[in-house]
Amino acid sequence: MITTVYVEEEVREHPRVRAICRRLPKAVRIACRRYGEIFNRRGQSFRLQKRQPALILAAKRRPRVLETPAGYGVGGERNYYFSHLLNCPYDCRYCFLQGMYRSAHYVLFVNYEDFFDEVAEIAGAAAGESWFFSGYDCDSLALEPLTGFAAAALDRFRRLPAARLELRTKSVQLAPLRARPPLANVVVAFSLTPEGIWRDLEHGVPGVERRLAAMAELARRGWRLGLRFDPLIYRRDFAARYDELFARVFAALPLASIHSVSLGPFRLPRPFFKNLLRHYPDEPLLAGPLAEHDGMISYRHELEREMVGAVTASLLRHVPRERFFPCAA
Amino acid sequence: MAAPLRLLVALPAEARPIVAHYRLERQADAGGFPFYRGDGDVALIVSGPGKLAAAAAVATLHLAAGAAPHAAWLDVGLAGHRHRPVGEAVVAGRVCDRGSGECWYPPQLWRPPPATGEVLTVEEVERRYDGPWFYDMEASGFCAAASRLASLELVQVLKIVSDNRRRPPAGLDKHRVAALVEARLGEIDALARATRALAAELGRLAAPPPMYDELVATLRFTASERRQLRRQLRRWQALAASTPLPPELLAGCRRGGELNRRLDAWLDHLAVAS
Repeated sequence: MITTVYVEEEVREHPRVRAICRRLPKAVRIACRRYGEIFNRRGQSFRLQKRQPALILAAKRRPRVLETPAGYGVGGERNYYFSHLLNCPYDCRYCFLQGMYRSAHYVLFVNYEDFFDEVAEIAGAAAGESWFFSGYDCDSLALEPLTGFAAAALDRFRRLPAARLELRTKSVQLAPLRARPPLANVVVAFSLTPEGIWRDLEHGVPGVERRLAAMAELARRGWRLGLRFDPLIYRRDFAARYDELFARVFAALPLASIHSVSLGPFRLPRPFFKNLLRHYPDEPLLAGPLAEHDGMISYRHELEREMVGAVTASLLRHVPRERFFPCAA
Repeated sequence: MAAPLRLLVALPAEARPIVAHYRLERQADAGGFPFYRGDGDVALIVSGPGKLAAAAAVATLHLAAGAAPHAAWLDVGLAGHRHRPVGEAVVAGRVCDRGSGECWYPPQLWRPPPATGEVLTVEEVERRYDGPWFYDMEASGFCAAASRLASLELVQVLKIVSDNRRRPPAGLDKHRVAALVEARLGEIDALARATRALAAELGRLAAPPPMYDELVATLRFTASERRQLRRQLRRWQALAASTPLPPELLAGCRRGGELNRRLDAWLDHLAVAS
């Protein structure tokens, strides 16, 4: 439950701010000039704030839509991402956001229309399709009852057929998808890890079974699905664990509903890893068989190759190669 | 063990009920400021009025009380407000300095949240109460100094309304000031306990892992090897806290670097096998 809401002076009268504050009638409301005064300040503890994150309502200025790092995508030539929200209500121990941000508060940029205008500008400027990824610095759907972002995005992307949208989530918040007919230019991508890893590392995330049920419902409704096995997490018996996960997933979902599958090993930029280690020094994941390569912390090369090889082979027993996109970023 | 608690008040009359509550004893003045200490690593300083005095008192208190790295810091004092009733207490969700325009936002991580207010630190006693603020004279100096010494979650401000448009500050005497603070000792103590719990968590995370002190006392380590040792012992705690360090790791080991290499290999083996 959110108990504190900071509101940038610039958006104080924004209708979306009023609506969100009405949904949080008991929360303390505090004015601020710019969200960065709170969110970017040095000398705060992400770990302590994660106990009770506040919500910061703000306006996002340009640039709002950015090119993705090379290698990030699901087959499109032009790939972009945007973040209407910074941070996530879940608490996954491998998540890079904990190492990237100084604060665990949620920052919600309420000027959604400005994001969509920029998307339309970019999509209109090039021939062919452009992909837009919305769940890069957040979960696209987890705070939907509060934000209404996905509903607004779907309504706008319906009128932008050259723009492809990926909503990425671990949640089972399906309301905006249930309320609309499926869109051919939208993929709803779910991140999954094997059951035991979910239990150990993905605190607050709905269980694998609930996510599979949500995906199956979307498939029945005609939505196209993405499967994101990223990050791959090592366990001594990782191959058996991922085999079992894939068997469950592909028994629950019709192949025709699956637009794309991607897979990527656990990796973090060194400064993010160091921050994570400071927050969670007792976390076994961070004490694992890791090494540094070119400023990134990941599993030792030979182990990573073994994991990616075995899990990819297992995955390709279920999905055709043309729908498989290993993560290079 | 409770984390250290550092309290700042502006006036001796504000200090009196807090000193009694925590059973603090007057020490020799620290840097010219009245200074009190008590059991459980609780310390209090009386800054005198004004934000500069408050900032200087925070630095003095930090050093006089032993420079603990993860202490809970509380500024307790009086404030004026346009219409809020005299005696009401609020925890500051925002502290702004009228002179510089700078603001601090002490994170409010409490469930349920206490009554919260926005504090404006001014140079002189406010009598017009033009804005919706709780007007005080120390909080911005306190936040500026204390947030350099502790994580922002550990720096909290509690203000008690002492005057408003109907009851101007002219009538306040030391007995009234002490009575206002005494009536809010429950809220002060609750905020202190909650903030100390957060401070204890940060202190625990930063504490040396088991065996660190013994090993550093036994073998020779460079500064960088000590950091590596700390990391390796943390890994050990994360991977297999209940497994004792095998005696062969230490057998014949003369230098810290050598022990670190042995630890690394042993822990890698544990990590792959887990």
